[in-house]
Amino acid sequence: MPKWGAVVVSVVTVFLVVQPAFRDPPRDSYPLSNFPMFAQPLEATNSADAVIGVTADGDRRTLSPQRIAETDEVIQAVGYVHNELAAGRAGRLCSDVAQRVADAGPSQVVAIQVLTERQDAVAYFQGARNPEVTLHASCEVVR
Amino acid sequence: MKLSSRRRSMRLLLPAPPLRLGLLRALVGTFATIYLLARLPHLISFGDFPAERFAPVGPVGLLDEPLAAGAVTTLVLATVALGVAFTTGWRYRISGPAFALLFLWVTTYRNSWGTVLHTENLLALQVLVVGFVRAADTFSLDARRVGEERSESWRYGWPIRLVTVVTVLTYFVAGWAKIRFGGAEWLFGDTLRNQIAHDNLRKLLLGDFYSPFGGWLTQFGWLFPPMAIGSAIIELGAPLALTNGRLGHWWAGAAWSFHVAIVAIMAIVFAYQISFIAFAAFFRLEVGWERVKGWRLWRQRATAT
Repeated sequence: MPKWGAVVVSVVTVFLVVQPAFRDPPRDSYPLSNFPMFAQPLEATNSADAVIGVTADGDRRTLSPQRIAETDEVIQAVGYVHNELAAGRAGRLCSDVAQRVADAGPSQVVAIQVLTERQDAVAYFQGARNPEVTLHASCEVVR
Repeated sequence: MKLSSRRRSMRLLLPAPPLRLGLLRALVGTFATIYLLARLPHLISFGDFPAERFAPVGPVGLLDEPLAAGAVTTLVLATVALGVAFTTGWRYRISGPAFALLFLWVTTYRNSWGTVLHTENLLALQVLVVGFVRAADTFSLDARRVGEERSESWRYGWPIRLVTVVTVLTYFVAGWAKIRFGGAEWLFGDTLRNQIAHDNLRKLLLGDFYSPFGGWLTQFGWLFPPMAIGSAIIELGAPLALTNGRLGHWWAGAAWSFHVAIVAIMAIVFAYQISFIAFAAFFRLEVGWERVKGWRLWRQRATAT
């Protein structure tokens, strides 16, 4: 490659890497990204979606990303749950997770709940645990 | 610093020994291949994902529907095999670009299911730069076969320079996003503290690893504006690392420390950055390599006597 070729390749590369930062509206992609992680303004009180298991005693059990969304990436599981709720498919999400729990455990879980918890995350870590819970769907684990 | 020296540091087409680029290829390739092997079941699992969850991004946007499970597995395994060829510098004219493109494809495919992660972008970009240049003229199986000595040239210097440019720009873009979306509140307000608390709580609710330390730390509100300003300096100030070799070393150390802090406070692991290989292009790798060789020689002699 001649020197001018190296310069052209470099200039094009710089443009490609930088341009997502200035796109309007911004768009995240891969591998070229505007890297928006943790950049958005966020209040202390916020919502977090979750899919949880409930035992026969009524105790709450967290489920793995594998059971929730067939992935071992928790961020992808979070995104999946969020997208399903946004699409109004809480019931189907609940029955899909219940089926996976029925097939592969945990065996103590007898019901699934799809919910959103709203609470002050900063206060939570100082002991104030009083979430405002919205239940989107609940279903039994049929074995 | 003398102006001429600074100008020299800023030059794109600065000559470098071929060994530096060869070592960079070996390091980047080793990490990428081990990473693929470690994530093999995860990457192959996307072959069984329901088609309705398919949300293609980047080059995977060429597809209207997901690939068949067999094709996903084949591509992932082919990428691993090419990763070995890339790392060892075997038939590099073909294996270099092929690995770079397949690595991009495989990691893009993994990001094409509704959530874009940001932990592999820099690795994919560095593999792309190194894969398309003459990075196997030395320290490679190709070089052993040809047996030709190569001398210092801009051909080996500019790709290394481009890797450093791409690296600092990804940080700059990330810093810019915080100013663009979060504004002054991100720097001086509670945004960072809230983000850390919320991220840890979300993980806790999902039974994932989270940082109890980060959660505990959120009670000290006064800590977070200095932390936010520090991270903004590292991210937005990243391009300054290109102006001076020593500044580049300091910045690489600061960026690495930044990622260590993210692990401690948010339990988010940017494995490539934590390995420090992401910052290898800022260093004269051949000097370190000669030291390792010298030390090994000294040990061999010491053992013999």
